[in-house]
Amino acid sequence: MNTAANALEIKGLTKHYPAFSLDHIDLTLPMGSVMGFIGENGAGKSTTIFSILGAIRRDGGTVRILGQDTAQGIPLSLKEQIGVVLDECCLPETLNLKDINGIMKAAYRTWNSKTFFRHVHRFFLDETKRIKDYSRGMKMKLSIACALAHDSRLLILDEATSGLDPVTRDELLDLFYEFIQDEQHSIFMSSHITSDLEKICDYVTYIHKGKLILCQEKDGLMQRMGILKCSETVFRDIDPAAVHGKRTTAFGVEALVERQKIPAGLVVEHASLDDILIYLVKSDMSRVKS
Amino acid sequence: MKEGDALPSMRFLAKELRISVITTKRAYEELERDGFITTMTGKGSFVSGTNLELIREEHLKRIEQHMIQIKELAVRCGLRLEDLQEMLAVFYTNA
Amino acid sequence: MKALLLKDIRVLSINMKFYFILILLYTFMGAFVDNMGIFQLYPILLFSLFPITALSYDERCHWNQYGITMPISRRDLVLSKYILGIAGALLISVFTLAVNLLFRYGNTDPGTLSCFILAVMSASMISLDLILPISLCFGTEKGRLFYLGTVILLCAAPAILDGVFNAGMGLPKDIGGISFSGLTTAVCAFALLSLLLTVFSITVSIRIFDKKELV
Repeated sequence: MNTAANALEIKGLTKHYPAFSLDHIDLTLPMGSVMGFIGENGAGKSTTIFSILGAIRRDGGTVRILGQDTAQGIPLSLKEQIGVVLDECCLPETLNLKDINGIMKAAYRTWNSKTFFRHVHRFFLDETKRIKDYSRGMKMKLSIACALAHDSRLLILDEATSGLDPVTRDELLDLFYEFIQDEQHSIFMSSHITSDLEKICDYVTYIHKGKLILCQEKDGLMQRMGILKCSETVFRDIDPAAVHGKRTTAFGVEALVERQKIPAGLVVEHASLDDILIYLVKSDMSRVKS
Repeated sequence: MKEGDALPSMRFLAKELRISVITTKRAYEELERDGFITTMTGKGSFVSGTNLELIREEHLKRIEQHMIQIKELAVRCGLRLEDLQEMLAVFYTNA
Repeated sequence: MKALLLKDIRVLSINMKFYFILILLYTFMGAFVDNMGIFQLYPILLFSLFPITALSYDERCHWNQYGITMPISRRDLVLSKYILGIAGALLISVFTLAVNLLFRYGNTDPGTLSCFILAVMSASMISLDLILPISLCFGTEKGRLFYLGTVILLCAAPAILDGVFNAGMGLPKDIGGISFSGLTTAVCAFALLSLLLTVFSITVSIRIFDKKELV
């Protein structure tokens, strides 16, 4: 059993398209942690994930998964330990659960039918229905059941919870928490439903137009940053190094700031992960580095 | 919790409270630094007995600080010591 | 690999039930018709082209981008389609042979019958060899366009084979002599060509598919 220190190590990941480029992405996911991968639509989240998985050929950079280098492609034995959930269920829709179980059993050496059906029953998925008769939420639950029914140590999710109702998302969050009870299990999830990420993530990474603009511990980030709302005059006296994004309104200035650098007496409000993304992206002042 | 009691594991606590594991880890580390618990790798975290005194001292300190604040507010409203004592007695009997 | 074949067979058997029945009917009908022709050719051709149908189902659900995350290699993704085609063609060829022998016993020479079926199977495999690389690497839409071209070729094939069958090959009569053995040689050569082309096609497909973006 591989006791590598990091579940995912990416250095200098690069991919060029005519209209878009992934530009030297560096990130590290320590074993046993959960990382949220945030960015607006088209920022490069899916491109990054597909580059990690080998579905897209990268133009540069190295990716180490669970301690193993994947320059020549991910070894099949390593794929047994990776559970993937994409934003759509890519299983043939004329199949039913029994068919899926049979196929997965043939594909994964470590497939556990009992676990699969346990999750299926827990989600109340109909075994007789074909996938094409499932709702979006049910299809997602099926994808997640598939990812959890073999010996996954790293769960990679690409917008898996988008388009799901809050109740379903809550159930899935429970599942993810269960998954990380094992210290050897890690999760890498891209999402723009930051309310979920605010709960479970240990680290957050922001990506914008193919560039990494932030990769830090979530708690530290949210404690350090805040939203300052004040007048233009007051704002002029603020240390520019404290400001990481700003928005000018008719009534003054709203800025993303580092609390510690703001003089006492000014009210700095809580900044959610959403706020941080919006301010960083909108004013294009990407200076927050770890 | 009593001395020797086992605390829930960091990961279980994170799950039940819906927070991140790093948060619970930090919390346990702080508790250990302050001497309230001891963590043994592989076994878990347990309440430290020898520092119940420390806990008591902590609490006494905080009570004193609150008392100072109460006195200052009382002075501003013109309350005397006897008035304060009456008020406190009410809380004790109703608790 | 097993998983991929299982998936394709299951998907095809659910979606193509009607076709299967049609094919079986065709095969049986062919046994009772005097002129060996479209009834024998069509089922074998169809069976060897099922991989393309399987590919189009894959495309519809974006299977490749998910399949590659499973313990499946790109090589597996390519090979499984070829195995499907070859196995399918073999199966239906043997079935056609059996049906014909059963119902036309006495009316036909097993040797020439086998030759004809082998020839048709080889032609079908050649068709697959040409279409699969294009479908795998550029999508089934382009594959189908290409298929239209090869269909014309294959429609001409029975006519050619018929002529060969009747005219005894056109080989110089002093070599080998009997039209039957001449036919056998020709068909075997054709089958060998088909085999070589299949190997070549697989190599090309694997090479190109390796570089393909699966998303």
